[in-house]
Amino acid sequence: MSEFTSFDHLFDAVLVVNLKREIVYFNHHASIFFKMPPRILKQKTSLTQICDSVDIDIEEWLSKALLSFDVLISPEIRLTIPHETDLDYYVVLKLIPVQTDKSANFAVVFHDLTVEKKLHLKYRDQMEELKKTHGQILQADKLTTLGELTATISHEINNPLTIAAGNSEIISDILDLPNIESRLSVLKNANQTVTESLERVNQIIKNMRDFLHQSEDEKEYCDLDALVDAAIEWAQPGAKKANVHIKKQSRVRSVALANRIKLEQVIINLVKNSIDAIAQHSKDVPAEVLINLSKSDLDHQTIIDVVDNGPGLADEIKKNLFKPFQSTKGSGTGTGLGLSICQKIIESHRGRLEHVDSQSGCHFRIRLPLIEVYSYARNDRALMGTKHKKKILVLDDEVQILNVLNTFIHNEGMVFIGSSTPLDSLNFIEKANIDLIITDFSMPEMNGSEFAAKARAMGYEGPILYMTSSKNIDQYNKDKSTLNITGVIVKPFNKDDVMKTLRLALAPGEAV
Amino acid sequence: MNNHVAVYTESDSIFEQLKVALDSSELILHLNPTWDDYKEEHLVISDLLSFEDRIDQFSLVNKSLLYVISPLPDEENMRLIERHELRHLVGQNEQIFGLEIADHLKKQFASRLWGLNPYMDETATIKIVSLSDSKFTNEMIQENLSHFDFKDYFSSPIEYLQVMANELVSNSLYKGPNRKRAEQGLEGFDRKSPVFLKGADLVQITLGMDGKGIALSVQDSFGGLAYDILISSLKRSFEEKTVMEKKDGAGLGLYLTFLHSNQFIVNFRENFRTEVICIIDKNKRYKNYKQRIRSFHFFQEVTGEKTNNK
Amino acid sequence: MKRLTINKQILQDELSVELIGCIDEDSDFKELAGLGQETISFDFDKISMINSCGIREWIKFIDLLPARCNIVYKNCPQIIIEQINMVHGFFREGSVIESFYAPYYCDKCGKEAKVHLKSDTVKNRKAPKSDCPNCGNENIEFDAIEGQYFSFLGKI
Repeated sequence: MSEFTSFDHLFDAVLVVNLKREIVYFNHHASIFFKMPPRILKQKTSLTQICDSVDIDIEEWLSKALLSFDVLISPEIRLTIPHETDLDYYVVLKLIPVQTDKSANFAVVFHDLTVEKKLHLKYRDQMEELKKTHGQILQADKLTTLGELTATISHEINNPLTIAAGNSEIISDILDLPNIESRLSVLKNANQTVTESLERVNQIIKNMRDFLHQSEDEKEYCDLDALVDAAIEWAQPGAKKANVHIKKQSRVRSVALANRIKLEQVIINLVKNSIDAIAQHSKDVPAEVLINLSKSDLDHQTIIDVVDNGPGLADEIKKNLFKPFQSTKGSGTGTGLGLSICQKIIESHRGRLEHVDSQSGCHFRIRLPLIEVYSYARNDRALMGTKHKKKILVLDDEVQILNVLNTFIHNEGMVFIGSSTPLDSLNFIEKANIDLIITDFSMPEMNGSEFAAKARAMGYEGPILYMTSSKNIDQYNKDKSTLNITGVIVKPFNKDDVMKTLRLALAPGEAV
Repeated sequence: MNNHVAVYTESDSIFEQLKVALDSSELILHLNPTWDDYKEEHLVISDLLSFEDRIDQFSLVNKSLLYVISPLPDEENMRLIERHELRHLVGQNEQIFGLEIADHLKKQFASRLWGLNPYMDETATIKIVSLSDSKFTNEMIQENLSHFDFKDYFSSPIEYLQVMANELVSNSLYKGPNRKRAEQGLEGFDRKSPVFLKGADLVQITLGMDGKGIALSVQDSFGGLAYDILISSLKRSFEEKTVMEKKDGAGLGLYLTFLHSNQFIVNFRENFRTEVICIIDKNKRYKNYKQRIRSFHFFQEVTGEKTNNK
Repeated sequence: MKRLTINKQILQDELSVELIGCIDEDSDFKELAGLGQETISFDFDKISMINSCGIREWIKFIDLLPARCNIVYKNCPQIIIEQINMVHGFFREGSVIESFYAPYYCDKCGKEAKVHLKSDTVKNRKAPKSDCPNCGNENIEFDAIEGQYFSFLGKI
């Protein structure tokens, strides 16, 4: 029937049915779609002999559609082919009236959406899986932090709760007395104390929330200037209220290996303590808190000083300064964190928090080990356990690079020693036995070439790798013979670039 | 075209093979008929020697009805095709060239130009995917390939099918100015630019597998791969074997596809549709796959001709 | 969409490049520009596909490498060997193909194997002997046309 041959140009399967729902024509793609050779398909007289659906009754749908001589589109349905049990299609049926000279017919177009549907279902399943996993991770995290919270705040809130409990007893006792009017002031004070203690508990819990999101031991290389700036920003509202000016001073650029949140919190607390102390007393001079960053080459330490020009600390307070819940403020004020916890935090960084005696004001000093020393020291156990773990010193003034390489190298079972200044690195190399050095090329103090020259002059004989962009390759080409530079890690780099270069440099000739 | 076939060969085995292969068809074979007996619209099958003997006479034959069987290597066959504007060159491969010719003659007689049906038997598995967005080219190809098991083939024809499909789809999306492409604003894109097809003009990628082999078909609705363009591209590639600096491609896609196929077939209708079909014979030996002389077939549908009857 | 990953290491005088994925029209070798060392080696082991536009990008990149560089191709899979044989310029004159994969067939177990060969073991374009890695059968058959498959050795 030549009037229907134009359907042969469609990529969809098309069956033409007459008003009696008999098949009068099928196009070329129909035999492919229904997996039936043309001679078999010719024998079929109705749609239901060829296909079926669990979603609609095809015959019924067709009957209804034929009543109105109009285009009709079915919803998306799942189509099965009776003789092909493994075949499942997702289709949309389009019914198009076709009027010829001889008769009225309908073209049933099978628009195949199977591939798109299966992709959609696959991705939907994967999204559900992801959501489930994400939910599980969040839940696990909550449980972990709940454990941490319980352990930490039980110590912190014990005192204010004890105070509140004690004062509640006082209130009970007084209420039992016949003449409570004479004890009104005591009642009021006790009530006030209970309120303030409970507020303190509330404040402690609020201040603890930042700790909930970070693991106890997680440390990263941090730019101390940026960290102090962030701490100042947190403390600024309180400082403004108390009319206190916070200033930062740093002579050298310092990098610390620290838990950023906890270190920030310690600085915030020291600053806030200063602000609270200053606020409680009248001021003859503009109130100021100074945060100073410096380095002690002698002690191999980075130093953070928090100094105020407030009233200072009384001697009796100084004696018990770092004891838990020691406070110079009235109950109900202060973070409740306690200098004792601040001290514990700094000790966990192998540092020290100390009060420095001064003639005026209050001076606290945080001492942190230089990152080279700390990186080395925190791997003590690793080094003792297996003496052959390779020690890799990485010198770069960008903390992000140090953190990324730390992850790469640590995950490969090697010891990572980070450094942000060439001079500190050189001092460290002199004392420690380093297996390989990776150095950035462009640094403010000296470039990689100069650093390598000094390292070689000091007697360091191990492999040195430059880490730089392609613009410094020419310098590497010169230095590879003059300074025995082993190779280059070219930026931008990926993990494989770094680790393969490292392994080959450590064991030349071995398969990577 | 009528059902008489003139076969020109001095080789008994070639004629026997053809007889066996065409036995079930309604074709009447005439061995070495005189030229006076030749009528227009007779099909002609000739081996190479006979073809070279009758070059002048064959130049009068309608090329779409002329099949030349050749044992020459690909490069020489390409020169033969180009010189004589052949539409059908059949690689003279032992035992199978007869079947190959039979498939193509059936296709011509049935006027079934498009699709893989002429090359696949009833047991064939056929899978079609349609592509509208160039950035999903490789994903759609992979999706299609993933439905087939190649355990009866030399080690992974998947690699070859992937490259061939990639080349052919890229040609469909990017290659060559033609009226229809211009109408849709799809001219002048370079290969790195994304192309998005709309409506019914998607590129269709079909894979079929039966007991004889695998067939890949890539079909577009631009109809731009005319005979002279195809031959010109293949000729240049065979002669120079170098890349070109054109925006729409490197000029080697058809050449690489041809060399990876055992049969290379083009169905064409100007400004309407192009279909390139590549067939790889079922084979557990890579050596056999590579040794097979490649066949070339070009079918053109002229506007007004009927094809694909019920 | 980038489908090619490039890993690189520079040690002493050699730039080692590992290519992973597909080499096609989107492949960008810019990050290797200016890194030229005395020897540049390319490991093609993890290349899964290369199309004609990928060949073009590759040729453009190779042409930019300094003339003094020794270029070495390693672990070339079959598809790369085929491209080398089919297309001029894929590797430039003076380059070395150190190692590649070749197809062999074992008629005992009926399996094909891609055997890793070093170029210097191929003498006069004759395939070296190999045992079947699947069943241990000795001296299995080289499963390609020697003159054709090893034609790249004549180009070096």
